[in-house]
Amino acid sequence: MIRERIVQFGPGKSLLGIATLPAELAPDKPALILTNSGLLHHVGPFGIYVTLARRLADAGFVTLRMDLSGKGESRPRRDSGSYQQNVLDDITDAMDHLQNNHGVSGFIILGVCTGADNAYQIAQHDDRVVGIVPIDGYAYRTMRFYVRHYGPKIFALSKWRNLITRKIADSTKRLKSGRTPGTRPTVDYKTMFPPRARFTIDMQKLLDKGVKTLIVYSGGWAIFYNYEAQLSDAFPKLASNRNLQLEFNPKSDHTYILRRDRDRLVDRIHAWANENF
Amino acid sequence: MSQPLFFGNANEQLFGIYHPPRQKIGTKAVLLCNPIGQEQIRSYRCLRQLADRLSAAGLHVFRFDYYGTGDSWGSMDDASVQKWVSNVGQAADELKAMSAVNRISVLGIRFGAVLAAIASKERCDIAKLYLWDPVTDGRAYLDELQTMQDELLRDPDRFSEPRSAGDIGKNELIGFPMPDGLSTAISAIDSSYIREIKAAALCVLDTQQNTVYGNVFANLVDAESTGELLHIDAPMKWNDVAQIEIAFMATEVVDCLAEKLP
Repeated sequence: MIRERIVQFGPGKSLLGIATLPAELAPDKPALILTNSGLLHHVGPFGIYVTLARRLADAGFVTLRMDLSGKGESRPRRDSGSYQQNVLDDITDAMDHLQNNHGVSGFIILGVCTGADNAYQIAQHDDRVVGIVPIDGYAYRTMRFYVRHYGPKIFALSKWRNLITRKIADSTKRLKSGRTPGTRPTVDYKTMFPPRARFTIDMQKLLDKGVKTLIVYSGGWAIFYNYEAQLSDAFPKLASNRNLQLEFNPKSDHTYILRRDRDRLVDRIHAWANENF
Repeated sequence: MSQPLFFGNANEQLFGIYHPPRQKIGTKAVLLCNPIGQEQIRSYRCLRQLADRLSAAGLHVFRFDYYGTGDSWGSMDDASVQKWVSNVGQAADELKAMSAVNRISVLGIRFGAVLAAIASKERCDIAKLYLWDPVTDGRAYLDELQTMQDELLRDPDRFSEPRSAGDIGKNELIGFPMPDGLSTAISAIDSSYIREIKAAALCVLDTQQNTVYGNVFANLVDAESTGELLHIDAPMKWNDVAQIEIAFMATEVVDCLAEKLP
């Protein structure tokens, strides 16, 4: 039966995570580390990290859902540097802890949104990372993206009518409430993607050294990614690499609020992990 | 420094965080009872900061996850109101053991307020019960969540294309399981639980201009009682689809509690 343990690690044991341990440890399997999505604590959006951790542990993977420094239950680092350096240090500390305490030597890093960015970054810096699952992370638009994004808006009379109607209503609302309407983003963070050329080089390096990659995009990321073949259109050589797989869930929102969508994503990650490790 | 721990039955361990008093030996202790579902996620940072503030003021504070929620064992698919009430009792006992304080205060938020209140009737050690926006009509509470769920399916800020009711499982509500047994038990909750509250004192905090509270808590907060009903202006809403994934800080409520509890 799987079991869970509280782990505190890093400088002054300032970092907290919950390790989910399989009934029998298999040191040849990598451990899965789940890092914060935005400011959400280590349970993840709608508890998906808890579900994933227990599901993967059932399949024999040690998992750790953790709070990066200054988030959730983890305190800020005493040796604090830049935000990005802190993230790298936090995940490195997590890997060191699992390696020293559970004998695992390889790691899969999974994250949603800012967590996805972290997965890409740590994989560049640490050869112990053998797999990454960035969910709604870096994405690069193509011509077809723009056609799909703007085309329906240009040619749909109803869209023009709605636009005009909304502009009038927005002006009225703004006058009444003093707020700027339409500011209800599901994604509440600013995205800074590396330049396309940089992403190409970095990703190629990861794939060449054998890092298994499952890139996931949801419909909630449609402002950046809006059709299945967009990745292969943007990066045909990367997309054809056997170490890279894509999961596109256009119906899902960014945080997988519907259980059906969440279960499907968990199933996919579970299958990918079992196929590759 | 806060201390995370697992407690309770070994097969169904509950997760909690104990915040010891800082700087002096604390003689007061408070147990925080979360709301449930997405409300728990939204309130997480607020309650952690409340706990930090109260421990800095010299209180022992304990917050925890009910069975099947947060980091506690199990799934909400198997949860029940009865089990959650029992969890409140377990957490209260754990706090008393850690703090060596015999009479504790309990703060319950939304449905956590219901659980705290029901748990209190079996105990003689609740010095003061704080109920923050307590649910007083379980059916209405679930209906409100259902309305939000229906609305979010059509929210263009969330879904690229509207989702249909068929995309939602029968037993889920705003991203979390809501099995039949749990739904039935919550629906059965009405204000009668309030009559059975057993605490030396009561404080009801209303941030939503709830017109029902004046009636349902009437005997407990009138001039001759030890209770009070406080109306607090706080900008957060429980039933706004736009705020489903917005963590709130409820500074006004935290300030009020930080003043009253120590």
